[in-house]
Amino acid sequence: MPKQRSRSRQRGVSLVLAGLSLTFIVPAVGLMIDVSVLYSVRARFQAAVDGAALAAARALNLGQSTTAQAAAAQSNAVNWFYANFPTGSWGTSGTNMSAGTVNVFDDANNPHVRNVTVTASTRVPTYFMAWFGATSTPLSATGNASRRDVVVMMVLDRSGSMGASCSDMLTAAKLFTGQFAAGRDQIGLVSFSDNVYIHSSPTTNFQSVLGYKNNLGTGNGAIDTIVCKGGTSTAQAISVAYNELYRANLPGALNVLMFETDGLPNTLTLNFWDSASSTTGLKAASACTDKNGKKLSQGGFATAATLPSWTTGQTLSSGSYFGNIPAGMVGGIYSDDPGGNNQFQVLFKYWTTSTSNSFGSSTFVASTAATGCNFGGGKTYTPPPTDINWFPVKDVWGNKLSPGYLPVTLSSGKVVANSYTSYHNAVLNATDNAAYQARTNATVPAYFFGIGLGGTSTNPPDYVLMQRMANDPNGDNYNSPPLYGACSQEANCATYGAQPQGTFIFSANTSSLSQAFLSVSSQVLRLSK
Amino acid sequence: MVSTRRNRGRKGQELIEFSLTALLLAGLLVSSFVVGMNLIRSIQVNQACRDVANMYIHGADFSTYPMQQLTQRLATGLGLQIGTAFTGNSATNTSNQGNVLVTLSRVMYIGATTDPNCASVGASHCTNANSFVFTQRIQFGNGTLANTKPSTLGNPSAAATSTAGVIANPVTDAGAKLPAGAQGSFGHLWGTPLQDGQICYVVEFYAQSPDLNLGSFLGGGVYARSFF
Repeated sequence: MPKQRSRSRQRGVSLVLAGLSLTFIVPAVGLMIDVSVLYSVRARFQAAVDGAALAAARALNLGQSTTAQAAAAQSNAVNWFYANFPTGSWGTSGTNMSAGTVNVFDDANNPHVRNVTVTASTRVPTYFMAWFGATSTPLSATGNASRRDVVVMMVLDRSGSMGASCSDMLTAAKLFTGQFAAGRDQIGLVSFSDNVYIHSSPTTNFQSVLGYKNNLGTGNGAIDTIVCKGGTSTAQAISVAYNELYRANLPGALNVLMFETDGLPNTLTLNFWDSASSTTGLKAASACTDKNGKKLSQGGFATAATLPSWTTGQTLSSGSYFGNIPAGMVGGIYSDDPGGNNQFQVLFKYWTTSTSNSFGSSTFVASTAATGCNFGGGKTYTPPPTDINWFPVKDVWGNKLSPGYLPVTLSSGKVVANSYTSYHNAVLNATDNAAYQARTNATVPAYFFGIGLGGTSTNPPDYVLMQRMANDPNGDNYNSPPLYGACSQEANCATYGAQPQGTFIFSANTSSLSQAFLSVSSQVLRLSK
Repeated sequence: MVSTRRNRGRKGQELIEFSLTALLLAGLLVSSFVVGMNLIRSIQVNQACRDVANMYIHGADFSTYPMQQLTQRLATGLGLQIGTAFTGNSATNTSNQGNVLVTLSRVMYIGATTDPNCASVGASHCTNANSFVFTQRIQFGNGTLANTKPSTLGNPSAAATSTAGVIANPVTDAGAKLPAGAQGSFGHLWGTPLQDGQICYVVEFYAQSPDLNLGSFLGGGVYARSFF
């Protein structure tokens, strides 16, 4: 009987044990689910805070003052946070994220960086642990982002071929300046044709100095004074513009060359005195005379002291990357674009401090300093030229005419002067090298963004050259059908992964030129984060 | 005799009790496993989505194979397939199997006809004034998953697009506009309306979970999106 009672007591023991064990198992499973939900919400919450921080940093260019920019950043952070994590997401409550939890401050170690810290908190509901009185779990997240100040030198082509497109270019340039943070970013301007004019070094006051247009207003400045005339001394312009970036000496900022052109480079500034060998680039039969009135055939041009001053030299501002350009046998050599007469022209005014912008070939070639020479006064050379024997392998800015993008004929280490094609290629090479030097400088490496404008001349910008200059591996993203392929598919194209990667945009006509400028500003601002 | 009958009557009682208990515990175990795994997968998808968005906003080009491969590594275990290696750009690399579809969109707001974007093309040509437009769209993974979970932004319809997914003329090309429904839903995301030229980088990540499908209880997929 006791045995029977014992057995009957055993009935349902398994269920009782299972029931008892469930009191442990269910909370354990519940805890696991609650923790998993918490982790899921945390991932989502952190993403929202990160997005808010980055959006805030991106908005630091919106506004006409640094105070307004900080307010825009805070507003953007709130906007982006709640786009990612709407109020009540995942059953959360008490979410605290507002402009007051967005802190905008200057970096302690780099004065050209502004930081944004976004802090947010919320309470995540518990579904099982609530049975034990824990109805929610506090959760907080912090996100950081920074924005480097941007230092841009605009390099604008004001050559004659820009013609009627000049005003479109000026409008586009003002839209470009209007996108940057006044008072923080710095923008300067160089314009070029046969020669180069520095309108302004990089300045935080760029809106009033250069002019601007954005959705807050518009203003006139140096950009509005540009008049388009003359040739295309691109390599020199890039070097001069880069020199201004170098002088600004802000390696902690994002340094950018923003270049626009509508044609092919065709002019270089060269020194026809080789100081290493004390020889000139004159032909033996040249009628040019030195300071003492002697021709080369008469023993003239023997030393640097006897050199005539075709040009007076150019002293660069302090802190320059380049050395001063000496007085002497220095001048610009202009060459016709392909399809022309394949001629050269000697230009003397390779540099100008004039603010009138009344430039043009007739102004440049009117030099009386090249005594006896068969050039000047607008005369043109058909290769082989009467006076010139060779071109140096570097221009006065150190840009290599050879080797480079296209083949150039050399003789005794100098570029031959009797080949139009060789010189034309040399000009393109030097231009390519000017951008290369800017990108690869160890102290102030610069990003290069290039805009090519089509439809204004029979010789539009060289796509491959521009891809190389911008170090842009991509093909044409802005025209349909695309006008050129990826760099890897183009002959003679080369890009370098370790160098700053910019962008080349080809604007097929003036109607899309402003869009191209805005695209570049958008990409520069993207890089500044 | 009576005792034997009683003993026989109790035969299998433990088995029944154990079966009932096991049924309960097994159900609990399976559902815990599935829910837990789905939550883990949700965390992973959210993390991958966030990481891709972070790289995207910093300039990474996800139309290239190396970046799609990097995404594949970030999504290890989710079943993202991107096919064989390719050179150049492929903004629509969706002819693959696998369980994941990644969609990246760069969306810009075009303001009034007097604002800079419209001014840049001339107000009369500003087809997309006061609209959200795609300026880039990249998709890779299993394209058929778009039937299950289409992009919440819709798709750029017949806009001129490069191999890198860049829309050539976002201001003037009507095909660049977000579809009408998405215009509204995207606009409602923002407490403060976006200004002309403001850009939002959107990454959508959809991972189906055929191995963790409990029918209508769990829909068999995890979706995450990040606005950066």
